[in-house]
Amino acid sequence: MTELTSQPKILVVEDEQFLRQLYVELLKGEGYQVDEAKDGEEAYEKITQGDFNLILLDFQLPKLDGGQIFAKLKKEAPKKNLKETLVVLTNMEPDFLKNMGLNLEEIKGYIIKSDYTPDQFLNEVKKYLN
Amino acid sequence: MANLILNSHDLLGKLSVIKNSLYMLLEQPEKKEYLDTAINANQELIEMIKGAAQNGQNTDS
Repeated sequence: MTELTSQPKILVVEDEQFLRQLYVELLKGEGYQVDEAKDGEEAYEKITQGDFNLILLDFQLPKLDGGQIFAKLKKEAPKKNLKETLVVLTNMEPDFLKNMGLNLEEIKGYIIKSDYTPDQFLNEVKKYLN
Repeated sequence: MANLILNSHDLLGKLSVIKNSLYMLLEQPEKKEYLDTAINANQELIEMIKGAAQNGQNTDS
């Protein structure tokens, strides 16, 4: 019997309600354990308290943006392995993230949301999980 | 006609909602709520552009 707890645990951080619900449903449909956060503060709390295999973090968020979360985690939760777990969700090209102060070498990767259909989004997530 | 200054995050966010909801509607035509989502996001986009155009006119004058 397959244990559900063996499924990868994913945190979806997205302030746009429709996209957040869509991503959560798509990922749950694949059998993953999924948690969600709608703003930067909630995301920071869940990241520090949870143990996620993958964190899908929208970069532009209310309360704390992705760059602020990243900097806070590096300072206050240095044991979190962001290089292995953190995938930034963005609508912009990677240069935008660099200009916002994010070092792409320090995270697992990024997904340009506006470029992908739901199926393509799922494939990207699966690539990062592998 | 006015030159527009728009927030790219908001603009691309709305377009992503429209794109994803229409894709889901294509996959699951029985779920009409996806059509509502697309229509609402499209209307918000129209309002956003109208608002930016109005602000542009105000700035010009």
